[in-house]
Amino acid sequence: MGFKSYLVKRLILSVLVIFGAITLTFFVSRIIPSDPAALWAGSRPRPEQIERARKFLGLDKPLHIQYIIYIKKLFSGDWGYSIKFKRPVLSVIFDHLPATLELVIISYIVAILIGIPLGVISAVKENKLTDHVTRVISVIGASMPTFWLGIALQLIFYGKLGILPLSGRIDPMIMLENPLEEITGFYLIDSILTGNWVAFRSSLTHIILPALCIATYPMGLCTRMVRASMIEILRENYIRAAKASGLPERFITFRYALKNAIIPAMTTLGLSFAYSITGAFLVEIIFDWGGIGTYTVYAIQTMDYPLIIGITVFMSIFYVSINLLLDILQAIIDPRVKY
Amino acid sequence: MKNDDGSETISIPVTRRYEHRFRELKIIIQVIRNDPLSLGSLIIIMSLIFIAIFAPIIVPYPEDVKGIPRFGEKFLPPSWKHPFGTDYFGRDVFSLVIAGARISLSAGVVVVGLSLAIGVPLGIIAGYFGGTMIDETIMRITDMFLAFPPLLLAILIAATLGPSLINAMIATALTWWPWYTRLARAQAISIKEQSFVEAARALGLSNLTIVFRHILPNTLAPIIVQATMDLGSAILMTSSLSFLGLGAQPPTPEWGLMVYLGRVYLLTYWWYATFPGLAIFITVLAFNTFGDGLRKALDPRLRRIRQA
Repeated sequence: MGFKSYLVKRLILSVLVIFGAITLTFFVSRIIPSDPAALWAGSRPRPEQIERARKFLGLDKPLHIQYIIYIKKLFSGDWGYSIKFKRPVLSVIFDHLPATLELVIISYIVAILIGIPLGVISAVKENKLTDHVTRVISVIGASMPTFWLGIALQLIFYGKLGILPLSGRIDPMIMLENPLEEITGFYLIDSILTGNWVAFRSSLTHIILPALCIATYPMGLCTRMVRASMIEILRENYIRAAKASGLPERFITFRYALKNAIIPAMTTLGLSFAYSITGAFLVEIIFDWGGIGTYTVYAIQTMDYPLIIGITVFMSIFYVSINLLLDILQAIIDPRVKY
Repeated sequence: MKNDDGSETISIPVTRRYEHRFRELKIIIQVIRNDPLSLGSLIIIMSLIFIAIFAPIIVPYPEDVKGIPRFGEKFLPPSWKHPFGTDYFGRDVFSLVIAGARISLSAGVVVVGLSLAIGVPLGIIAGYFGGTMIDETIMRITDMFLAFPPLLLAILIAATLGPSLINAMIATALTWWPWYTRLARAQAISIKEQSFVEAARALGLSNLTIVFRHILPNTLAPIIVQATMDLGSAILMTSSLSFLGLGAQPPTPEWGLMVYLGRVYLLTYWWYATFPGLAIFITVLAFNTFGDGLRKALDPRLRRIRQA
């Protein structure tokens, strides 16, 4: 099978999976114990108001018709209205997605910058004390309840030391004095683009703690992956040959071994990226980040079903797309992948 | 050579032929003996189980666990009388954390058990009928569930079912089972080609009997090992749902819920959120470290040192 047919097969499969996820979401959302129409009609609605809401939301039709309408609307970009915000679900999602993405991307940069060196050190010093310490650090990363780590960091860096802000994306005073012009929605990039250095400093100090929280998991993962593939590669013949020919140890480790060890680590990290976006939900709440996570929790607390469903569908599409993209990338980069 | 049950034991003497069934158990014991980290985490797990079982006897203030407030002792800092301080209702946080061990550990066991109950039979059936429509259908359904970021599907289901600890456990299990289906399927595929299954088929046993009497028992060992390794993550996910307000409800002494409630008073009464969170951390850490040791031992590529 050639690359093209592999691509087509993976694409069709991904579309089917997304379709399945959408269907599953629909049926889960229809077994809701409470009545969405009554929620839509507001507090203490009259029966005719509920009836009108039911008609407006299309809940008076039989289930299979509702399903067809739901699918049609999804594809035409009409994802319904948020009950709480009385705005289209998609626009709520797109308004708050940059905040979450910015946070998770910064976290991954931190995770990679720390994780790769830790993994390399751990592999070179296999089964020595450094290795054990690194192993403990990476397991801690996977075991730490992020919501609790966030609280602990707040307590230390804001409560005791007072050197970092408690929560939010930027100091509200700066928004008054040096208002930040939103271009991309990523505060760090926007402030650089507009040369607003006060805003840049403020958003940078605000992102440190939440980014550290989210970074713990991918950092542990990165360390483990790099360590495992480095250990395997350092035993390969071409490394031995390089050693025998007298190349400096450091040169071999970084130029020969690490280069090959990084691909599998990056694939695993990529897979965990979409996972971390939902993991970030918990951190967002603690730091009042105002991204998708914060709004998911609002949606849950106010029983805003169209928004909950919208976010679920959106995230599953995102998740499947990232997986697909990584598979394709890997097939391109790594010639050993069988189609 | 062939045994009387039809299985092949190539180089193992007949007297030892049952030992390979307990290979995993032997490896576990060996790992614990060689690895101080695994041993330490096992000791922590054992003490946690002990605490969970005897919680009602150990707890210093049993009435606090039932949610009876003592407003006179509101927010006392940690002391000899209250090692972890007291909460908003004057309840002893130490007692609550101990009682929480029982809730969290049983939540983990229930979640993993429920996922196994759904996932393993489906996986074995899919593997046994590998390549047929049954296999395809089951695997496409698991794909559908795996299309969601795990926490998000749990949030959706828990929000739909309504907030309670039981619903949070069901929601977590419903997002968890596909992994066991995949694992069990892979196991079943490798086992069904073995001659004892062929023998059973030749004897005219029904598919149902073959699947549940002959294939299932032989797939269990690696699945149980995996399940043990997953307990930590299951506990973490259930407590995350509680933290989001979708799990246990007050006054249940659930750790995630306590962190959520204590968060508001963080800067003034730090102990309220800190100790329950520390309890989650230590529990999950113990399970993950132990699981990490197991993984290391069971990965044939990493095993070479011990076999030498």
